[in-house]
Amino acid sequence: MKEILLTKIALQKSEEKYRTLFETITQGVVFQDVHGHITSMNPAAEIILGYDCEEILNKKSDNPLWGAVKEDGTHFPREVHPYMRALKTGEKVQGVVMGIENPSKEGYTWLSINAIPLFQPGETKPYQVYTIFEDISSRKNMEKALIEKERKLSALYETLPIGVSIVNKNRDVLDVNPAMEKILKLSKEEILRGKHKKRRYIKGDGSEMSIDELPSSIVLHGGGEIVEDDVGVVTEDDETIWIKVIARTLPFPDWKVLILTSDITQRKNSENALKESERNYRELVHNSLVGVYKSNLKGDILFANEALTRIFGFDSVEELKEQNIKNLYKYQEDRTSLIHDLKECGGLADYELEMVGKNGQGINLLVSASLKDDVISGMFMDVTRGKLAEQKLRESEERYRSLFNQMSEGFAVHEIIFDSKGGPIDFRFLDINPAFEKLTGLKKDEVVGKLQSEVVPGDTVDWVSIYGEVALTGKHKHFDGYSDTLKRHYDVCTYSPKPHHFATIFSDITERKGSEENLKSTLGKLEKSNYDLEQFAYVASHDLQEPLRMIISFLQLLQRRYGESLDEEAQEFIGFAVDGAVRMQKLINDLLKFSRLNTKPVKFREVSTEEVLEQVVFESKIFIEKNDAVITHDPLPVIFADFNQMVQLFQNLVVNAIKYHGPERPQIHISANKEEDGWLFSVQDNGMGIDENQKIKIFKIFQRLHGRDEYEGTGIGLAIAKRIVERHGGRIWVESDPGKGSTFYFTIPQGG
Amino acid sequence: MHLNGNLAAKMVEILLIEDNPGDIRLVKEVFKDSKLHNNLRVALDGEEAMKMLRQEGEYFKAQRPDLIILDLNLPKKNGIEVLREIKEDKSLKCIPVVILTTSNAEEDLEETCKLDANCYITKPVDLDEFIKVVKSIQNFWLEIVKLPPR
Repeated sequence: MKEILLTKIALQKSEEKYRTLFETITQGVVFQDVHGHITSMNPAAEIILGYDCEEILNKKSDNPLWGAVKEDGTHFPREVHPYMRALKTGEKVQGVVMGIENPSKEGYTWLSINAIPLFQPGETKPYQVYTIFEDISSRKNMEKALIEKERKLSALYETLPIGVSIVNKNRDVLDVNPAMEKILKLSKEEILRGKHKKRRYIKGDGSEMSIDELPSSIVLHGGGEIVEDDVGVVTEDDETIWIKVIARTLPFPDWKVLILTSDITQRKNSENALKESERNYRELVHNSLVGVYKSNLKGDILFANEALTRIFGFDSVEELKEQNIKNLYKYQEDRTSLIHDLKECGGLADYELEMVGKNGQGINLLVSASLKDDVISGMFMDVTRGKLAEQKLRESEERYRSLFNQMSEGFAVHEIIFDSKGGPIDFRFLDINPAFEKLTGLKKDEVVGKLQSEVVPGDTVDWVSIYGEVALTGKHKHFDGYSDTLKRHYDVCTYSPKPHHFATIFSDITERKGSEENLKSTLGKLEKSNYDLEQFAYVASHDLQEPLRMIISFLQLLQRRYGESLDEEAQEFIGFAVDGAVRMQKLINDLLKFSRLNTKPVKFREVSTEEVLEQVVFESKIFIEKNDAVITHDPLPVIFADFNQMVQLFQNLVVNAIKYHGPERPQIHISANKEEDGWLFSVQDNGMGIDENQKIKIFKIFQRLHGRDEYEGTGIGLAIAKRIVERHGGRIWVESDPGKGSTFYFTIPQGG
Repeated sequence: MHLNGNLAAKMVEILLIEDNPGDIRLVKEVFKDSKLHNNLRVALDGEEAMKMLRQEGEYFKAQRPDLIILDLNLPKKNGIEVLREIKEDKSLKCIPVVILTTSNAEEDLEETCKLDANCYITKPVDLDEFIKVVKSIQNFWLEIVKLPPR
């Protein structure tokens, strides 16, 4: 009994202890029966869930009242509810996170839930479940805020317009942001692989920058906490990217240095351009021939360049600056009025001044100046020499005036008159010279100040449009013109001395025109006669030959058919008739050849006379062999001539030489000698020679020295040779020693 | 001698375009002696020649020739014009045209060559030479050369 009591007491104590624990524990504890109905809960549970005990006793913990959600905010299904799982499986369920709606709080209250099944002794199925849960909302919210912060930081890192890179102790890049890729014009992979390390770096002054001088290296080597510098990066394409680099140490074992980079290429370039431009201006001012100065109203010289020093004859800028500018004025009232005008207008240009140099010499100057904040900035141009030039100009003008008055060509100056649309319609004579009067017969007072339409009204030549173009474009013209009014031809040269004005210089060429006309008509006649000659050549080759052929052919037919019935004398007569006709035919052909030489143009080209001779020997092979002739030659030149005509020339001379051979074997030698303006050729033979009085005759057409029984031919060969040489601009002649041989000489000029 | 296949049995048609009765006579003499069966017809001027070739008017029955012998110096329509018309006419341009002329002017030679004349012969002065030339024409164009079908 006592034992039972003791046990009871012990139990009571234990019960009390647990109840206290149950009542005071900060975690919520809820008991549920086998159906899930809540049977009891502790005060902590009431606070966490936001309901009084009475409100939720006998409710299931999957009641929609809770609005249970999973961590990701979706509905929490009943079947996976921790208590359900504990009931079903009989096992503990731990650390399930669930959000519920606490009516007294905003948003979800987040719980971390453990569900523990309880068993009756000997039972395998739980008869109830208790769940212990704690409010992890604040932890959960903190986590969420952390994630958000991390997300924002990361976005910042990704979108930051400043390049960020992180390197380890070996200066290997561990990470870069997109801005860095863009600045370095390399991809992240390339940077991580270290491609940028192969690039060249330069300093602001353009000199080489070593790796150790880079801000990141300095920081790594302990040269400072934060190091900043401008670095030029030379890319693989030799382009220089200018970057501003800030490197700072990081307190991490792997991340050693943080490098911030911004692209300053544009700034750097404009800086350089500015420097360049500044230097240009400085040089310009320094080296200018124009004096540049600044002075205040008191006359102190604030700035002066070399040129100004020179203009005033001082030895140095310093010496000039010691002067008061007032002392350099010849007339003080000039300065007073200059300053007055400057104050009125702020600036003025090309103000003429007379000033005095160091040694008292007068200087003529043109001043351009402006006034701002009581400081005069200006330029002095020395026109002393210009003044002298003016004097010279006057003298020169006098010289030209006298030329104008005394020249034999007519000279006139005019201005163009325009219509309302700006097209030239007339011109006015402004000045004429005495020769103008003489050449046109017009007096000065009839011309000067008058319009073209008044002075020469009857002219059909459109002078206005010719001169209008000259006056508008400034291009000069040279032409022949005829004045119907004056009935004279003029050679006119016209130019525009200034816009809308023109001058004409002309001479009377009426007489020359007359002779030109004559020449033209003579030339026309000559062309006509040449044409007639060509026609004759054609007719001769054609129409004259046909009747001859008829005569010959039918005489021969007659002889053949009826020869037997004709006596010897008749046969002989026919023979004479045939011979005559054949001869006539040859004469016609030769005459044709000769006249063709005149009508056909000479086709000049480079001709090797050795080749010409080869051709001649080839063509006359049979004749040469028949006469057993020997032809030799010296080296022969290349000349400028018509090849076919050269062949004809050489052939005629060679054949001639063989034909009129002497008793000995014919020997012909050809040579050439360089003369001053061409070549002298000679064809020498050992033939019968020519008598002195025959030497000129032989070159005449159809001239024969021998009877036709002795030598064949019409006697045209040498006439043709002569004509060919003459057509080439050369000369031909013969020297001979009768009985011993002849030498034919001819020249072919260099240019053909 | 090898005889041209399609002409061996047939009559060979020759058109001589020539105004000089002497030359006509000489050519006829040569062709008369030929062992070939030939029919030599003569046109006395260029216009007549073209009518014959195109079988116009009274010549509607005229045979198309196998060979044309053409002088250049012709009345009405000269030889150059006749040659141009023949060579521009699709149905006639295959007929070989032999220029047989007194002219030895280079202009004529060049001009006819440009117009695709088949050959150019200057009439020789000597009778024997002339006969030889006409015989050669006969020999070459009618016996050696394979002519296009009519």
